[in-house]
Amino acid sequence: MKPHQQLRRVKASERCYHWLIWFYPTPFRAAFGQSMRQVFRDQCIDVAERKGGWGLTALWLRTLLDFAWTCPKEHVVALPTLPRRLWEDVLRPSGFYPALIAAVCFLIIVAVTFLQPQRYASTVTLEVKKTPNASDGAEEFDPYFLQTEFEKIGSKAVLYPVIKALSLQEYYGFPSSAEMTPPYRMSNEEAYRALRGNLRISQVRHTELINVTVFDEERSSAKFIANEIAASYLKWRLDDTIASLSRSQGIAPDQASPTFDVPAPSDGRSQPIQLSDSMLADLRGGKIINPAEEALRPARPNRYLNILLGGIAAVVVGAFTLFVLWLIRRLRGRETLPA
Amino acid sequence: MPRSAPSPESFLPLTPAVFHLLLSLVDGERHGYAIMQSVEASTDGEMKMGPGTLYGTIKRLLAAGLIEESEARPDPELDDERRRYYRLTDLGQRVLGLESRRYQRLVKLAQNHGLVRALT
Repeated sequence: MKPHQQLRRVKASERCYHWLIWFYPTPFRAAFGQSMRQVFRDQCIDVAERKGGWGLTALWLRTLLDFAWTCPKEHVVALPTLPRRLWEDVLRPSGFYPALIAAVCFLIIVAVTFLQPQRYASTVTLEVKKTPNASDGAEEFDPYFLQTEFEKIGSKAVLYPVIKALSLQEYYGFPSSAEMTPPYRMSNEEAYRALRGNLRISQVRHTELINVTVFDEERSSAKFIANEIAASYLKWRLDDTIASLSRSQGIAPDQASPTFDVPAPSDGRSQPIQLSDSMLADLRGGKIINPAEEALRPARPNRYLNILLGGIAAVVVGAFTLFVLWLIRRLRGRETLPA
Repeated sequence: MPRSAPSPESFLPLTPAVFHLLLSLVDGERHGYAIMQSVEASTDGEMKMGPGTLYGTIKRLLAAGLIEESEARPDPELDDERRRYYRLTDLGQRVLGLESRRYQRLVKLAQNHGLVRALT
């Protein structure tokens, strides 16, 4: 380490330690704060000269450990007699610190759970079939079929029409505070990201059905958005199939009531037909099995689960604190004079 | 009612940090960093005190009357005159002597059992 770097680091360390000293009780700080700072500076200069940057880092680790142990201790010692006796005779032996930290951890998790806005989930279930091959009508096995459809449902091609139809740019952009006028209108991209964040697409276990779940703070909105996504997706599939067939037949996609050579379901041989509404439904290759309904209870946050996890986290944190205290005691030994 | 002075025995046994700190002041008065270095050197680096531990211990030793702050200040040209020096009191010396004898007895006891030879 160059001398000027060394000096800069020593000065920075001293400044940081100066702030750390402020956490000690005022009488202790007034009596020994200056001396502690001086000792720390001496340590820094010594270690930086002998061991460089790594030595300084090690010194800081030791000092922080020392601070973590002595600062609360000095606060306890500064307490009046009765609370101090209570601490020394009852609380400290019974693992008060780990219990306190575990309780704080648990309370924070519970508070966060209850402060989070409640969100309702509405799910629409879709059955999607592969569209037959335009040339021979054969269906090929595609292991990635459902995964591909998931991506299609979440694509901009499907979700942008939903954003437009339900005015989600205003809905998601509307301010929570009534004073904020005029309401903020999101861009298409922002609304898409917001919608994507509220969307979960999954496979119904052991089937080829797709669940499209929408989360929203309004139970009715969750339902409308989920159903609109399903409708938009099926429409997009139909448009895509027609466009694909039009290309294979050499017909302009925008030509009304086109005639296609479509594989017949009975023998798979192609025959020219005029598309009717029912045929269009077949070409769509998918349908809604269960439309979305309004949820009865909020889905997020899952309060019972969060409280359970909070309890587990509190136990783990408490045990870890107990271990750290034990480790500190082992490393440092007893440091108070006997009463 | 005046409180009677505590007997040296009432401070025993001393914690390792207190014992080493008192031991470092046997040769004369020292300031905080010198005490820290002395303790580290006498324990072959096994005991490294942080500033919080050092001054927490010093505070308790001052309150117990085992050490006292020296009035002497270093020459400003040689050292920082804000440094505070500490020295052993008579009570501190007696306590240190008693603790040393206690350790001596313990070592002797261990020697009688052949433990010290076995360890070395």
